[in-house]
Amino acid sequence: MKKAPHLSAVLIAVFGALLATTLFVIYASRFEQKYIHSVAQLDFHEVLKGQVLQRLAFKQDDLLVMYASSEAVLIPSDYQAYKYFRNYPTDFMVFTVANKGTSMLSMAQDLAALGPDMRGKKFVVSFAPATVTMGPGGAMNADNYNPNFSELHALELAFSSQLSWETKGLAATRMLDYPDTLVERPLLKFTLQALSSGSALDKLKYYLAWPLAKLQIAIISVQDHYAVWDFIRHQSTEKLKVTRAERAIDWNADIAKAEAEQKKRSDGNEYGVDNDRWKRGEELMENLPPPGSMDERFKKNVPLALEWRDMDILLRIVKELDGHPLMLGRPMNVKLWEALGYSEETQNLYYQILHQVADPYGYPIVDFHQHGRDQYFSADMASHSSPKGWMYINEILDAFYHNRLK
Amino acid sequence: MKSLMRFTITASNSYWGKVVLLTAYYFAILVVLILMYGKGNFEPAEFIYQGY
Repeated sequence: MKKAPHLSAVLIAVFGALLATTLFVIYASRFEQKYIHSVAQLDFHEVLKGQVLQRLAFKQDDLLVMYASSEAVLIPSDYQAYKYFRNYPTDFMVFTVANKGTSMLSMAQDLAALGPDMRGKKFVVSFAPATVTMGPGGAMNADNYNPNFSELHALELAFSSQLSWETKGLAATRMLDYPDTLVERPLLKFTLQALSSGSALDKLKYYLAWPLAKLQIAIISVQDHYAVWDFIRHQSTEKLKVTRAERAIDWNADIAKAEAEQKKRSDGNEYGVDNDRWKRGEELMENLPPPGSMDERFKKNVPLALEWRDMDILLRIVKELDGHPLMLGRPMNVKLWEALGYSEETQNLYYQILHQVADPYGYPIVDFHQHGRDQYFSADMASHSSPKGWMYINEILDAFYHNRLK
Repeated sequence: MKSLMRFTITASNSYWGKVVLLTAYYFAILVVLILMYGKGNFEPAEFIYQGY
């Protein structure tokens, strides 16, 4: 050693870098803990592909984490859960992990990445019929899946020690259907192929890749801490301020207020669709098919939707990680779909399959089926929630958090 | 600059001086590498609306 100054210097420099990284992670973790409730009231999609915030949110007793897709974020309103509960009126706030175009498969990976942090925790999985009823093949297409893909989530799923080989294999097989996400990720691609195949040789290959993958996860996790720290420190003091103001909610009054707002927002058509989203509906209305003429198409396509398979994968993951989710759906916009040639009876097939897939897991499901004919629940054909829809959702979230869900 | 050169030459004459200088050198390389390649991207790419 005395004759090798380069070796000594390299060892000291590497040790110093590791020490500095560790100290930064400790500092960042404290910083994140301090501001997690502030982040809950912000749009934090800039750091959505990480895992730091989700994990931390799960550890807060007064945050109810809700995983969702565009039904929760595409149409802004003051009634969105993260705004409505902003001041902790009933002692909790909703922490919304959502982005437009998020599929069940993306959510499954995000949830798998939580690992043991999910054990025994309540959370919400929000979804709408649109992917099943309108997506190509009943799944999110690559244009939406790819931008939401997170290497960290995928690696955490693939190398989770809590998940069974079978569940990881099912998820891997579906993840391989989106090859563009794996082009510059040879380790992940190799692992997913091994998981999907499941042969003895592939299992051996998988375990050989384990140390390298764990190192990769550790590196991305440090980057995640940096991204979150950087995101928070660029927010204004005003935005980070958390105010708590307990109040009794008059649900009926707020629902009536929200309905009045939606009536105003959709006064240009008879289907309750937001005026600024009606253009597409107007085009469809120009050439209406006879009533019920699209039923066969719906009956043929909806049962085959890949999103059902992905929902099953998600539920398997949750079961194996011992989470306690509420499956929170949205209703079909019955009147509008009827006008487009799909009878109500046929539309009900969506709910039947939903329950066939989800019921066996025994988690509470709220599908809002009874609101299908309430034209002001959804703001468009794809069941993106309107202010009134949000109010019903908020009521359910409140009941779920306080263990009052019937 | 001259005094820095003189300091470097003097320091490199002893073993520990050399180690300190090399450590600073390697550490600087690590820092530059981290700055160049260390930042991850956790923001989803732009949403392409499917007309739902």
